[in-house]
Amino acid sequence: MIELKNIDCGYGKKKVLNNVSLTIKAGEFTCLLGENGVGKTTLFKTILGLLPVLNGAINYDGKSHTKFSEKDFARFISYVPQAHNAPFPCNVLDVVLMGQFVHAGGYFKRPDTKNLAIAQWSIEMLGIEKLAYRDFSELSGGEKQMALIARAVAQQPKFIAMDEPTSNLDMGNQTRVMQVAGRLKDKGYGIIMNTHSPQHALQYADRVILLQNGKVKSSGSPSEVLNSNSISSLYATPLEVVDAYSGNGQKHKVLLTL
Amino acid sequence: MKVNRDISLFPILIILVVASMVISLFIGRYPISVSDLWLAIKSLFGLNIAEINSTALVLFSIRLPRILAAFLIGGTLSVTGAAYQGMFRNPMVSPSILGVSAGAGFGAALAIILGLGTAMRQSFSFGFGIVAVFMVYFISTVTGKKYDRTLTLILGGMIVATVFTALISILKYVADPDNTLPSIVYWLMGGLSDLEFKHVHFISIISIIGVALLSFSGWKLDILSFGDEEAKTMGIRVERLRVLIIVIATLMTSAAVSISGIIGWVGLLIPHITRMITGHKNTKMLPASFFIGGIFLLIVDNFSRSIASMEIPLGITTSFMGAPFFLYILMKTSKHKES
Repeated sequence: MIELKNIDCGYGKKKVLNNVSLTIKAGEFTCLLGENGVGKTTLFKTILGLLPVLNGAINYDGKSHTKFSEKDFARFISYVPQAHNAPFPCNVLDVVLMGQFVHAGGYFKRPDTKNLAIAQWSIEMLGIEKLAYRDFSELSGGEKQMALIARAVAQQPKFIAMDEPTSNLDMGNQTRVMQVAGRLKDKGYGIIMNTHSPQHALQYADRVILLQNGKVKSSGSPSEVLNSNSISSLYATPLEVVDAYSGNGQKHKVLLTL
Repeated sequence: MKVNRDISLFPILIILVVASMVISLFIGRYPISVSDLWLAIKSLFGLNIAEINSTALVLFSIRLPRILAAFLIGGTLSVTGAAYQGMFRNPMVSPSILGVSAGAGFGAALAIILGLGTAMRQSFSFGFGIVAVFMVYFISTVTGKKYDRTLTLILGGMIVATVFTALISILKYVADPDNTLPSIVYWLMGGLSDLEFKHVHFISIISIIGVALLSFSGWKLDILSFGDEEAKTMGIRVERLRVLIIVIATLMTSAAVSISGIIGWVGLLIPHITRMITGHKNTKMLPASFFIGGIFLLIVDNFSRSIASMEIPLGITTSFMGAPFFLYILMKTSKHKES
């Protein structure tokens, strides 16, 4: 469980978000929503320990960030960045294996067969076995994102934090990434996702946090928090949440732009 | 299957190292045949020390220390260049990026002006190399809080190198043109003449420990190449790793430069050649670049001391051999990118 108690966050002296109090539960799918520039990424980086907490405190399972060693913290929460190019030619398995760094034994930290097995397990869990020996740089955006998620899984953490994992992806890849995230939640990982798609939050999240004007506007289950009014106000655009039925008669909540 | 191929590279490299060292023993103004070498080795292990012949003297107290020094210095410059290229995520970085060569050059020039001996000149040069990097690190901690840390380190390196280069110019300006000025100029050109075994001890210890520590950091450097933030979330202590690499690389380069003077190109060029052979993974690339750099400088030094009747400064030879080589690599990689 990650508890944020009255925290301010931002860069240096510049506060971006004020007095944020939140609880992020293990095994839940939490989505952070807010318009561009509201401070989603700032909050995200603060939770990941990449930015210092300006005021207040964050407790990770009751302990503050400073009580963790880097390794223990990396075993607690892992990070999925937006798909990017590999800095040097390496295959997907090499990239995923890096997630096992914190679990590698010995003073000199070289990957052994056990680390390799876990990297492979993680690749299988995401169903990207076909990519394992492909050059990371030659993958499509969606494939790269999958490989980076596999790396985060290979870290064997409690929480996985994903920073807008569907941005720059086409519809099919967006759906695949979201489905994988949902599946990881079902396996017991806590998912924290920064997203600019309220539709994804409606569909997959257990808990939604709306950020507006430097504050947490509301948080709760998607049905509590996400309605036509709140979303329209959040993005300053008329939007409507409607019920729609798919071919098999299932009811879905769908967001319409008007 | 994959692991085996990784390992088999190093026996080949070690055989190449030994072979190039043995061949280098035969190169020089004083001609030596294979049977001479055999006799010399026998006389060395003979019971009667007085019987050590003149061939043995040439081989083991003049040529061998120089060969070892050339190998160790070439290896040291290459592996530190490779580690810096990984750490700064920039393939155009060389070991002198943090001002170590300029600092070491100033130290040596100062010692020459003060009329100090070889040992003191080496200590001065070693010491000022470290001082220069320390200053760079200080500058980057003061200015680097808001900006990209690797950028402030590189800019700090430029500042400090500029200052020390200016200081070297002042020393050259005030130096005695008949005596100390040529010494400074020759020192700055780099070279390995007049080396004895006692000069090689220090660099051997530092470079062997250093190359081991850098190689063991290879996986961490691979992860760091994904960026500071990602590396942190993967459990890397980024700042500690950076300090570790800088400290090791500085000690190694300072030690190398203090013996040989300034030798350019090796630290920039060899990592690129090594990557063409081993691929980019630092765990393999770092140790391999040590061996390949060592062999390269050994070969270049053989040319330096045998191609003309007068010895050519090593810094000049490396530049002449390095520049076309680099052009070749550039052409090859640009072709590769097109296809």
